Amino acid sequence: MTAAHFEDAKQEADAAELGVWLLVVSELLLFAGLFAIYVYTRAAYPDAFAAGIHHMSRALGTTNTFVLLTSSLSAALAGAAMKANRRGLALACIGFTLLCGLAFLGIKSIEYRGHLHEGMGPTMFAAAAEAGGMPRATALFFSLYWLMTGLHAAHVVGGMGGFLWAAHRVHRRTITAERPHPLELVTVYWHFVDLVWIFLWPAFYLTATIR
Amino acid sequence: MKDAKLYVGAWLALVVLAVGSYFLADVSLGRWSTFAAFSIAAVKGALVVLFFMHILRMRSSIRLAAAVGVLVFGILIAFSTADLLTRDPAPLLSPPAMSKTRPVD
Repeated sequence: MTAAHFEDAKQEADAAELGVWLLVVSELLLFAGLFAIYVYTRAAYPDAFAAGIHHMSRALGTTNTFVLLTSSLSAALAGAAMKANRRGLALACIGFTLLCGLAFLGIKSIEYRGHLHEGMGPTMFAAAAEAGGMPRATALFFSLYWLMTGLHAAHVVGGMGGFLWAAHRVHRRTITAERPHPLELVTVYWHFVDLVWIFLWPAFYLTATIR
Repeated sequence: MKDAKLYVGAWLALVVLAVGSYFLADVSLGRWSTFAAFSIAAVKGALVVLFFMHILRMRSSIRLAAAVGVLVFGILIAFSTADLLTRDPAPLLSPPAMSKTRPVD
């Protein structure tokens, strides 16, 4: 069914597509601002950032990178399967993508719990960093870490909600091989979430050598 | 199923680049290691946008929106970096108290 205010299904699909892309671009600029803060803070306190990155579990961060990359593959395959009119396969791919999302959030929560246990919460103060043998400004590193990865995790939750909605519509046959765009648009959003993590990974886990 | 091979190929390339990035983190390249890590991230990002998001197949209004987003992102990061590299004294000059490390007992 095409909504009444559109002339035809193609116009409706085009409008939805542009809308989702504008959302993605505005989200990109939201993260751009945070990355600019990261660049400045890191340049001002290189040792604190090195200490913070050293403190991260590179194994967990890297596992999450592979989980999200793989989820992007299954999300893309879900769209391709839907267009080839293979509903069952499309639903299986959506299900696998949702599992990857859950795995990502599970691993992230293990990390978060560890940080909280060590007193490195989102409102960690300079004195706590100092007490842990780290430069006082490591508190700034952890503030940025919680803000940026937390915001990203919220986007993962949002993307999973999108896929649940799409799966429901595939099941009810309101997303079909002829009309696959709602699923494709959720997929575009999911790829964006993956894209953000691709940059968060080196920022918070890999680049401990600052100078 | 159209594009399935393309997706698997893009995913393999992403995995290879991620593995490379992981091991590169232990290679001492000095200040270039950060540059290398983010360069690999940029290549991975380009693969996602090109092959998963199919930006080149999109109509011009969408490509324009995406290009403006990337351009503004680039301006923000490039000018911030230029500011950091050229301003003297450096912006956000760290107060000594914030950089200090308490000796570990």
